[in-house]
Amino acid sequence: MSFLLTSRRKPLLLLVLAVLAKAKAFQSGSVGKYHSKKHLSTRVFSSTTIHDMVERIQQGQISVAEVTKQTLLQIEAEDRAIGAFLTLSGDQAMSEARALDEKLAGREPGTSTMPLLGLPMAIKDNICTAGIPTTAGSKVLQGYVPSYDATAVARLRAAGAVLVGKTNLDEFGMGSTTESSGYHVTRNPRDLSRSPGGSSGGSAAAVASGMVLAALGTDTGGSIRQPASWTGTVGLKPTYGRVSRHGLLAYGSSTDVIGPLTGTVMDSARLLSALAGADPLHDATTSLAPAAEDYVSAVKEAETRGERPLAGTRIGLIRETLQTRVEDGVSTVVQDAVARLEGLGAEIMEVSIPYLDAHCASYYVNVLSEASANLARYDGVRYGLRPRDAGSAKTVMLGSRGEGFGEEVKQRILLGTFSLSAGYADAYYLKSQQLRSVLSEAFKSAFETADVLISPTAPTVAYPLGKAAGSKVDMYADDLFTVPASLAGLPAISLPVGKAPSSSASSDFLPVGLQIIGQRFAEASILQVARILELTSTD
Amino acid sequence: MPGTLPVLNKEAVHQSLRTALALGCQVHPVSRFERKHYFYCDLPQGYQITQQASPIATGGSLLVEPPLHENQRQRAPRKRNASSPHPGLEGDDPEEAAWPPFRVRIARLQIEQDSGKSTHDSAGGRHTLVDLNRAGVALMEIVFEPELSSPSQAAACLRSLQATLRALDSCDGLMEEGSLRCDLNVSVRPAPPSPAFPPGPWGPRVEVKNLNSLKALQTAAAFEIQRQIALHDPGDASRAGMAGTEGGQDLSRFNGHFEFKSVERETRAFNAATGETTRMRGKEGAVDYRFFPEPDLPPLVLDMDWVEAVRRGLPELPQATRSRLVEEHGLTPAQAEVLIGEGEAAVGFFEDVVRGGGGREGRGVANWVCNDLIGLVKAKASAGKGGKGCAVVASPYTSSPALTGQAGASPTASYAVHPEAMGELIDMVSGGEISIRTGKEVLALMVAGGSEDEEGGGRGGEKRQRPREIVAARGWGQVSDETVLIGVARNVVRDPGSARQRRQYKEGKEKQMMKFFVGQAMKETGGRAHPGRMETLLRVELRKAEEEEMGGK
Repeated sequence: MSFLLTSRRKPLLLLVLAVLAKAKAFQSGSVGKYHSKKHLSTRVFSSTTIHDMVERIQQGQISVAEVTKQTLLQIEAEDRAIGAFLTLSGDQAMSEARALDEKLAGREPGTSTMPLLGLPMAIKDNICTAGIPTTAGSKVLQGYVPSYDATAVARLRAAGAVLVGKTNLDEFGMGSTTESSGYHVTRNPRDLSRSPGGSSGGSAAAVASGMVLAALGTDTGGSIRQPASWTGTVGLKPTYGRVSRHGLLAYGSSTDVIGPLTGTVMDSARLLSALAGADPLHDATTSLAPAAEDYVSAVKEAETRGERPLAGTRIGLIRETLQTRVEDGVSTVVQDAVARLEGLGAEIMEVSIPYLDAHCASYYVNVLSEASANLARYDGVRYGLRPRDAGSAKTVMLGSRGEGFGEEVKQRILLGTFSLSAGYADAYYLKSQQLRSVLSEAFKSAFETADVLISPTAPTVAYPLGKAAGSKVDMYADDLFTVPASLAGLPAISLPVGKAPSSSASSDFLPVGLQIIGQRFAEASILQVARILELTSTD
Repeated sequence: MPGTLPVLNKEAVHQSLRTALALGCQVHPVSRFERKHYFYCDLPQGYQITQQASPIATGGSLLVEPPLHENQRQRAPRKRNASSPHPGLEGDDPEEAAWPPFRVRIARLQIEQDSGKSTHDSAGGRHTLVDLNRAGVALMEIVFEPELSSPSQAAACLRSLQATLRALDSCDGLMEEGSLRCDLNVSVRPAPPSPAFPPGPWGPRVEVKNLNSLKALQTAAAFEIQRQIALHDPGDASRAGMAGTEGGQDLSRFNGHFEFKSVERETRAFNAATGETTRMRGKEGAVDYRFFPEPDLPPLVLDMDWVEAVRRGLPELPQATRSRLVEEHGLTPAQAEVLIGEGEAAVGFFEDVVRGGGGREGRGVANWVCNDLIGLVKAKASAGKGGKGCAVVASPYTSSPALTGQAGASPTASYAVHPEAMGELIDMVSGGEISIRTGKEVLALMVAGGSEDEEGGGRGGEKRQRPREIVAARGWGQVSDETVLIGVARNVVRDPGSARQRRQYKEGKEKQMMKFFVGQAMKETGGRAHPGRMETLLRVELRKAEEEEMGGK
């Protein structure tokens, strides 16, 4: 866990140099399709896609242990400035890596064909990892070490991924800037004076900085997509029920989804292929999903389409998302992306998802109601923080919750409890459920005319650090483009489509993401549209 | 653990469905789950998943019958002043009015999550121990309409439910182990001055938690009724008799306008040691459960074809079994009760014995099974020999712990005694081959696994001796040689020690004295004389002796 973090500074520097030399040697050997892509920062070694990396490991050009070691070294070097990670699982990662190398050396069946063989991955810290502390960014779970892997994590491991660490987040996912983490702030690699977004800000920053190629995030109302937009990465929120939530520390149970943050759309498809599928023994809500598709093949098929790859695809631009709250810079980039989609042969039309403001408010009532229930289990009785000298069961509970939860979490629990209370539930919780049905109907009619829907992912570029604290209501309201897909359980992806001018001294431009929303379980079609658009990106 | 999600247990749905169908409930094709929130150490999630708004089944009813014997009634301990009986109060009164059987309606049957088990008494009451092993396991909750009017009715209702659940095998009904638990709600209201007046309003409902036996239920109900009546009229509780039923005492001053100001809506706990209830929390401490739909469990949608298949597969219910046993086989209600209480297997065993041989009489067979066999097998099981070599022949019956001699019987349990062997024994007794007393000894040997000299060989059940073999091997056959019997009769009658009895026989105490002489004869023959035949011979001998005495004078 404390891999080279403190004591061995000198040998570390030497190693980095050695690695740089090595990486250069590999660079000439790898095909450079993605090398022109600038939105991944300089890396210690040269793989820029999962496919590249896995191939090189398969061909014996680099060992899993070497990849893992380099990754850990790079995180150690770079994360001081960014703060993406809460925990590094170095020792465990190295032993897993060596085990994979041994299997490869022993030609153990199935090892060399693992789709994510040797891929170093970062996992958002609200997803359980056996033997690695999991805190959800909260003091209430400080030191808690799960005994089991979340299904998503187990599937990644089975596909050959190596877990290198756990990433920072807003406490229990409650925030949009990662500033409400109980531990520390995470900075945006694109502009260190700004937030990477949230709540999956740590995962997004880890990918955006190039420390890892892929990370797991979770999305309850935009927590994968908005950080992806702010950091210029690709964030996919799968359909509710597509990926098992077993092992996810619940925030809003009816909208929580685990999904990938990656540098490219294809990598997103690769991760989804590993993650997707029913988990009938652990998560009943996955049983309603149809069988997962081969997302990688779907994206490959999109890549090979001819001149006008989106001919016949009807894309609905959600009208209201260009009318409400959107910054000019964001609006311009999105308009440009729409023009490019049209140039690719897509039929663009405007569709309406009315009452976005109301849906955003209703989302908060719904999610905070659920959160007030989901966070009731953190009472210090069985695990997690327990105050010293606790007298009775009641003082244990009061003490644990009082000391363990941060201000934002307490506020949200209070709001959620209120929304469900006798005498108020009709006006708040029930009303939000009614609005939710209204929203589903709106999506249903939008999908009668369009195959996929698009909108800006977020109305703004990355906030400067500290801004959210001063304007909480604005921060809540800025979720209005991402919460509709969450409430309706639809798959949605955010991919970088351009940059808007920055107002801060430490950056010239900041990334802007486009959100593509699909019909239930139609992840393949949004990945295809995203990939085709990505191929035309000039950044 | 953090991160884990609930998954509905199919078997829990199956058993709830079977129970609902057996109780005549309306089964709903779609039911839903909600979260019910409160903080307590035995509730790991901080909420319980339950079915509040749309349970799996509603309606239905349960037949409640009065207990069979007066002495079976468990009476509440009389804590209060004996000088204030509450005449109108059923169940608490020794002369509680008999009530006819009736059906109590069922409000709902729902599936919910169990909580952990708290033990409060350890370490001198300073600690509460929590056992989370059952937390999260599915349970079925059955809510009855408020139609029970007395502690004895409440107990009878629970007893009837217990028998039904056991017959269905959807619950073993063991209250002391917590597999069946009961919460009680009690309200009282004033009696109208006469039947012409409408009854007054019900008082506030008081809930009593976790009653873990029939006795606890009945005691708690009786205590709670008294407590509530005394509360609203502390000065003259004796005049305020009324516990749920109409037709109490003449209480003109209550007159339907009485307000139960002093009874508070609250939740109380029952203390089995004192027979009293104590306050847990009141209305101001009432929990706002903040129900909302459980997002982690999709609605439960039942395949109605499956529901019908389950309905067809239901076993006979105790009430139907009882009437069959009483009407077809001539059993007394008490005998039927005992058999049914032992479960489906016991009834099956009984019926196999009856059908196994021509002319076996139901009541007689039941006597053997209920009075002798069950007791012997239970004694053996509790002596620690249960399950070891006590089976005669593997049988297809299921789950009668007593008859199999095993505490949790397996689905393919074997009998301690094979029905054919039991039948043979009964035939031998009724055919006069052996006496009843010998029969009982033979049965004991059959249950014990053969005679001592034969034991220890690890013999398979099939090889164990039939009753006729046991009798033959031990020479226990009834003595039928007339000359031997006459000799015995003569010896008994002419025994000088019996002179007093002979005189009394002569002086008219024929009946009692005959018993004595038969007893003597049995002693002489080791119980192998046929009592009826012996009596005849004794009469002859007694007459002879009398004549000789008279002749001698």
